[in-house]
Amino acid sequence: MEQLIGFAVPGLPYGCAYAVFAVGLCLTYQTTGVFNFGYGAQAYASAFVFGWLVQYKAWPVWAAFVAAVVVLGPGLGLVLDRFLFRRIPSTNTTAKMVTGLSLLVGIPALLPVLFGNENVVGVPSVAFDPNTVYFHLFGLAVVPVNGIVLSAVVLAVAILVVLVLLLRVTFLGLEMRAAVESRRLVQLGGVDGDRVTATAWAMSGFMAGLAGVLLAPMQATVQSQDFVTLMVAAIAAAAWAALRSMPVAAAVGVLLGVASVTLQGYLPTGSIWYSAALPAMPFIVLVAALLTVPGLRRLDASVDPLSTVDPPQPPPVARARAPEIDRVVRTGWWVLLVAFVVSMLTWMPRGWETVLNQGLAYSVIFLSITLLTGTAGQLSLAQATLAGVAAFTAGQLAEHLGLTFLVGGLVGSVLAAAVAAVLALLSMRLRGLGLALMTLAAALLFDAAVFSASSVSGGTGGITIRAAWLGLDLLAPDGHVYFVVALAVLVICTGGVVLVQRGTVGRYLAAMRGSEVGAGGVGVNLPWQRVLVFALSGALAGVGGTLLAVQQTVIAPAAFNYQLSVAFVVVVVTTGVGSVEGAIQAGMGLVVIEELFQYAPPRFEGLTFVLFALGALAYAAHPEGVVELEKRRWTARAERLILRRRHPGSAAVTGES
Amino acid sequence: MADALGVDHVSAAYGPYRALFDVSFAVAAGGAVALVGPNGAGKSTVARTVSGLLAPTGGRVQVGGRDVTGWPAWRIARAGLAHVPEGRAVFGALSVEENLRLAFRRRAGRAAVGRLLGRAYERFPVLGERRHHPAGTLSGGQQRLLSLAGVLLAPPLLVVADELSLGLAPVVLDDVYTQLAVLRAAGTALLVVEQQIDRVLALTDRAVVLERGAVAYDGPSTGAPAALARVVRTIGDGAAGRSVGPDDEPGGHPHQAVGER
Amino acid sequence: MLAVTDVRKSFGGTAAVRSASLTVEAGESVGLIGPNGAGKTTLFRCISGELRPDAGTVAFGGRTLGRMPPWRRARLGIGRTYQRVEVFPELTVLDHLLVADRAPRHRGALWRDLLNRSAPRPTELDRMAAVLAMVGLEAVADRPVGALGLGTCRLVELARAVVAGPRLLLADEPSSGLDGDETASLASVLRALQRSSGMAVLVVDHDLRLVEAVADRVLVMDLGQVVASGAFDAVMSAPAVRRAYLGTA
Repeated sequence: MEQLIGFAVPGLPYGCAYAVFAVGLCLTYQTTGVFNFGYGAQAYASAFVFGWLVQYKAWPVWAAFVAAVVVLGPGLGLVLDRFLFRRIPSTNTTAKMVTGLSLLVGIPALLPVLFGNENVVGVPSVAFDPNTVYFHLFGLAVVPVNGIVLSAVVLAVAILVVLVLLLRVTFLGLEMRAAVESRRLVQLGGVDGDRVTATAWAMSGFMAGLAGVLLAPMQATVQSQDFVTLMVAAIAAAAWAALRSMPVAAAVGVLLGVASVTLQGYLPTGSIWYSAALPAMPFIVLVAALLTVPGLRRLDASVDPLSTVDPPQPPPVARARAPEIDRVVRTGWWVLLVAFVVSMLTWMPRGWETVLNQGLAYSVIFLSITLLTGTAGQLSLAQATLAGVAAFTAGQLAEHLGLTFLVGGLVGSVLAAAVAAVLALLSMRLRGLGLALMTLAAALLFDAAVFSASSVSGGTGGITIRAAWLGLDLLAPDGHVYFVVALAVLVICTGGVVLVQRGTVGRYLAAMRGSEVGAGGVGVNLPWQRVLVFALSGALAGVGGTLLAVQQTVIAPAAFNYQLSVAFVVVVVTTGVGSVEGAIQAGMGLVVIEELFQYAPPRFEGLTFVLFALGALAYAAHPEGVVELEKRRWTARAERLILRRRHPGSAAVTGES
Repeated sequence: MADALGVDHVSAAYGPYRALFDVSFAVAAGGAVALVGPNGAGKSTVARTVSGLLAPTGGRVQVGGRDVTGWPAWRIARAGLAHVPEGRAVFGALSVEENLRLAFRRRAGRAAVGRLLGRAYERFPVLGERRHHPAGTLSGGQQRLLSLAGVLLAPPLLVVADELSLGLAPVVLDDVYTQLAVLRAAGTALLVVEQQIDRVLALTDRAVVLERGAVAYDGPSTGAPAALARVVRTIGDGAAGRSVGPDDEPGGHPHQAVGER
Repeated sequence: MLAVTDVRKSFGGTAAVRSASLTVEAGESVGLIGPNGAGKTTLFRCISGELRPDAGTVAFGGRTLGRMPPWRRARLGIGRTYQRVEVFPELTVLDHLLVADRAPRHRGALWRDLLNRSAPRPTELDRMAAVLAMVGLEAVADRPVGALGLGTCRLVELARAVVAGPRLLLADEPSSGLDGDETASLASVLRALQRSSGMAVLVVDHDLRLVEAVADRVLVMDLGQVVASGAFDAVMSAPAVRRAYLGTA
């Protein structure tokens, strides 16, 4: 018993941070209908700024706390509400998710740009000295209560009590609870719904900041990855509460924090339980919630008695190019392709050839997103994971069985397809947000439990491989074999995706994306199509992952983690998720921009993702993608120009479609 | 004195679904208008458009002489329009008392809330008995009463009541109509959307008959039954030639209990 | 052909449909009307499989449908149109018909797509052209549906529902959101399709003119039950129905 308490108390700070965070998630979801994927990034921002002010600007702790948590936290929440989420129609679930995800990618990348990329280390505890033992719980020597534990518990309890009082006692709280049920009905009582929403965002921003500052002293350096663990544990806790009940969310949060630390004390350190099951616990808890909590299946269904006032979603802008332009564009693409191939084979510097080769591999991975998200309308946050499944399979097969990468890659892609199909089967009853959470959980599960195992990935160092095929060294320093192979694979995959999009399956998928109810109503086998498109997309990701692995020569887990899965979606959404062009632009654009930033000071390294995140923020207004939008504008301009030349005087015939 | 409500060439739509076509009518200050018509005619849409839940696609809406077109619902509510939506328009998870507090606070001010709560429980004892229960546990009729109590006790400039009789027992309905009459006598204007026309026409002096989202009749209440019958008869005319009788017609089904009196 | 027996469905303690029964014979056109909240749409959704009844059975062609999902009911020959249109905005009108025509027959074999052999075949094109001509959509066959108006979308849904040759068409509030002229032309198209194809039709609508024009027989629902059935004018003149439906005797 003493031992149990001894193990449990150090878990309390984690539990408190999870609880505060989970309650904050529920609060925004409840009052605004937004599941804020960017919440982890908000917490990270506050923790980072707090630590940075103390460490580099020598601010007193209380002043840094005021700046980072009291000012920055709610301020960021208000900005997100005012400039982003308020503008997204409440029925557009995908836009809300993509916006949150781009914040999750963009904010951590932006911080070093603003504050410099020095590490923030040794963040102080907010209220009490971390190294002082204030008292022993129950007078037991094994349960020292130090400043970290004390400040976490005191602050978490304080904020939760304040929140409960605010919601239960004040009129503002009453308005907020009413807005949860129906934003329209509450307006009929003369209550300004926008003000209520803004308050909720400010409060949740404050709580994110607080959770971040509570968690920061427990890490040696403030890293955005740690806030993902926080985020996932909190999502798991919130999921058990069906994003509704704040007391349940808080309780599960505390329990999760305490349980994981307690188990850490009991499990034998060398066992697989310790190395794999323990880090995976939050994800298992999340998956269990997604599979069992019935409220999560109805997340997107409205309980608002006045919900019939909502107009249906406007149909996307139809896309039509004049035949003349279409011919020009198509010829342009061929010219570009030929020029690209010739350049790569002749004058392109070796360094840039490597970079562009990498772009080819990314393009193949991104095609999987084009197919799954663009064509079938399913948002998956596990595409990098699927790529990794194939890459590691190929690597292991090469190492242990001596199989070539062609065979290994095929086996790996089939395996990736199988994993994707299982994922589709598991999430058969989930839609929108539920599906995104399920795939995210899967990605994190693989990161924590599978890719981290050295028997799979060779540990953080990865597996070193040397790709040879039929006696050809793919990466011979003076040859172009890899380029030719990768280009051929990309062309074949692109052709395949185009054929599927244009074919019967593509029509079924487009039908499902347009209206799942309507597609079912004409007899489309919805479960089968869903499994099929997940499997196809998994296979594509697998092929791309293998290509990437061969090109990089070292297969490391960091190349396939969840952050890349999320970043991939953000990147492809920016360049256009609807067409194969978008995937190729995304692949090439990503590597080229990243390479260009190599010449910039190191603090700007992350700016690539900031750029793409900014592009993805426009998703709500332009679901076709910012780059695609610009292309259409220019095409329309060219169209007007050509038509004016051809039929003078009828310039105004075609506007932008 | 300015009209309590002016609806001027209003059109409305739910996205691509057009629901109102160029609707115009007015409710005089302190006046009472019944809005009737077969279901699907757009009566509820009129109510939602004037209260700001739905932005009109064309035309103007005036409340108490002020142009409120395009205002958010909460500003229109503060301008003196109280919309009682159809169905169970209460906050089910909040207690009865919290529902009433929300209704009174903005309309009557913080100081008056306590007094109004007392009056509400006096007038509707059933709400007093269940004041601390979640409103969702009330019966359908009691929920209706709860959403009405909010406006009956803190009379605004204009009450827009949607599908008033839906789900109310006849005895309760009598009481509600009596309350509305009192409200009107105190100077509040009324726009009552109804399917049960007999009772509402006794309360109001004017009536607007809607058909397919357009005004088919606008005049004294006494002319409304004939106008409504015309709307119904145009339906019957085309079928005059056929002669198959109803093959089953159970008498005394439960609905009669609601409509009769 | 369609037999609904004692279907019951409640939402959170409120009974929307309490013990409703009805039958639709092969080739028969039936209208279902009733006041707001009578349970028409709920009953309708129980038939199409979007809701699962709490009690009672829905049988089609002598087969009890039980927990069968909507897409399998569609394959048995139940076509469907929706109150809030459920079209596929980015597909053309012709693609809508192709999806509806192919989906019930085969899975749309992936290898056919990959070999670029998925273009519509001449027999399919003929069948689709015939349906398009019947509903009058030839002019917009190649336009994406997202760019079309609501009235046209309703026609697209109708064409999509009948192209696979269903034995029963369920039409849910086809007039909703349309003006008088659009409703009238929709009604005549619906009637013509029903006559020429010999399918049965069950139509729910608020617009009595449309129901009168389309239905051979009318069922009146009130408070979750079917309370009257018969020819349109006879049913409409029955005092109980007038009271239930229009609120006046």
